[in-house]
Amino acid sequence: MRKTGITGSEQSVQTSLDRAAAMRHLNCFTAMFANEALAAATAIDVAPGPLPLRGMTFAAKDLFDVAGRTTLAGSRINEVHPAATQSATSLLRLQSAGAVLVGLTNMDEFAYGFSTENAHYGPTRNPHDPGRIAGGSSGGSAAAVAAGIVSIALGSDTNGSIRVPASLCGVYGLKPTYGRLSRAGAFPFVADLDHIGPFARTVGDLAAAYDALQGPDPRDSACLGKREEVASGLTGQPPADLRVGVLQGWFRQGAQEDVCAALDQVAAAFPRAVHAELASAQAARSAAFCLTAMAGADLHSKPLRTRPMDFDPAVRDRLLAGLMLPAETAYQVRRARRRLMDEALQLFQHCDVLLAPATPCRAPEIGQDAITIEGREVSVRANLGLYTQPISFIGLPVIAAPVRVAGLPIGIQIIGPPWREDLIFQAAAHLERAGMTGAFSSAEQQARVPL
Amino acid sequence: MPQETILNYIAAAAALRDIAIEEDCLPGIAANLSLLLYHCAIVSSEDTKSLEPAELLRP
Repeated sequence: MRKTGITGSEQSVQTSLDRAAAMRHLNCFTAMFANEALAAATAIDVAPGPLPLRGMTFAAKDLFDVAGRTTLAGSRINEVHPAATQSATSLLRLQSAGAVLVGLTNMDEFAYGFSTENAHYGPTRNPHDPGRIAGGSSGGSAAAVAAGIVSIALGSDTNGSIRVPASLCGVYGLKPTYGRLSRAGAFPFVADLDHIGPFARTVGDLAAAYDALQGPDPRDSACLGKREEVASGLTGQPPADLRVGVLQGWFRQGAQEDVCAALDQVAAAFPRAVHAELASAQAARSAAFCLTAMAGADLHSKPLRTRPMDFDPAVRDRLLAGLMLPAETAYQVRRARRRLMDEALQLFQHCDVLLAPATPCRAPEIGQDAITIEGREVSVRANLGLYTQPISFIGLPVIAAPVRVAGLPIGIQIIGPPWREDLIFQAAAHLERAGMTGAFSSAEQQARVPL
Repeated sequence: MPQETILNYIAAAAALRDIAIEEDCLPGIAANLSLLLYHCAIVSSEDTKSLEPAELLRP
């Protein structure tokens, strides 16, 4: 029964739980922590001193450890694993900053997919059109934020799993520089490419979450010794005179017309925007594709041998194929990565940030197998990350930002040089202030007129 | 690559690596392996530019 007279965090949590119940049809969550969340909120409401995330609720993708619970990572395979003895670093940091965890969110099994159509737990539905996918693999997190259930959510991004669902659900998503945020307690996929990051409906909330998550962590060997750089103050600064490169070539091929138009509309907000190229992007994307299959297959090779029929069939078949790739590919992949990084660093001598689409199209329908790219029918599951994969392959920081367009959401990537999250936050804040980007509620989405 | 070649390759690789593959899984694995080999070919075709001694010595 709903309590009366509650305020602050407790009120936020109750509102969040009510909204989650009302939005159950979206299938955002795989676990809810109602009692624990209300108890935590009560404690926060009486805690002394400033807490930067006080009053905010959050959700986390179901691959983050919660102490006392087995981490499923969207699978049945992991049900036999022991319960986590300690929560993920990122969860603990958000909680220390005053945010309250209300639940864990649906995902593609083992984070291997771009659609969150999970064979075990069902599909997560897009809040803007429940007949369409939320994107993946962090689809439940993006949908929970887009539906207004939580203020922020945590996801992971190996090939685009934050940026793709952020784009399709119309919210902000941050994939920071590789090694910036601790992955300790997050179920792994591809150690060389795994990142974690937050979703939010405003740049201010995204920056606040990012600031709370920062800091070195001895539990993650990739996240050691980097100084924290506060982003929250940057979002209120005057528009930066940023040099912006709008990526052409690979990053326009295959994009639908409305996606290109949205990108051009955003680029026009920067007086110093110029065209830019990353010539090795296609090879890098293919290399990321191969590395992911090989590393994922290696990680899961034991259950693939002993319990293959307990996997989501689509994931199992991809992983088994990954076990059969030629070994020379591993070395070619490394060289492809270096080549693209060299090109990117060269480009960043002339540009502060780069812009690119986040996805080639708006959200496909649930159950839709194929999308059309350059006149060819290609798999949805494999190709929504066309433009995100080359960027995470070299670990660059990116904010996926929702463009204010009519109809279903379209997201763009704002890409920065390594360790320069400050630049992408400045660019994102500038676009939000200019009214070019921003999250819409579902009701607002339907009521809007074309720009 | 012909479908039959892919299926033979999967059968041989699975036998060598002691992986039992159910008949029902073969079409899905074959489709994914074809796609992966297509991506391997793209990576490989771009790789020739980098095979200079100085490049190969980079860790």
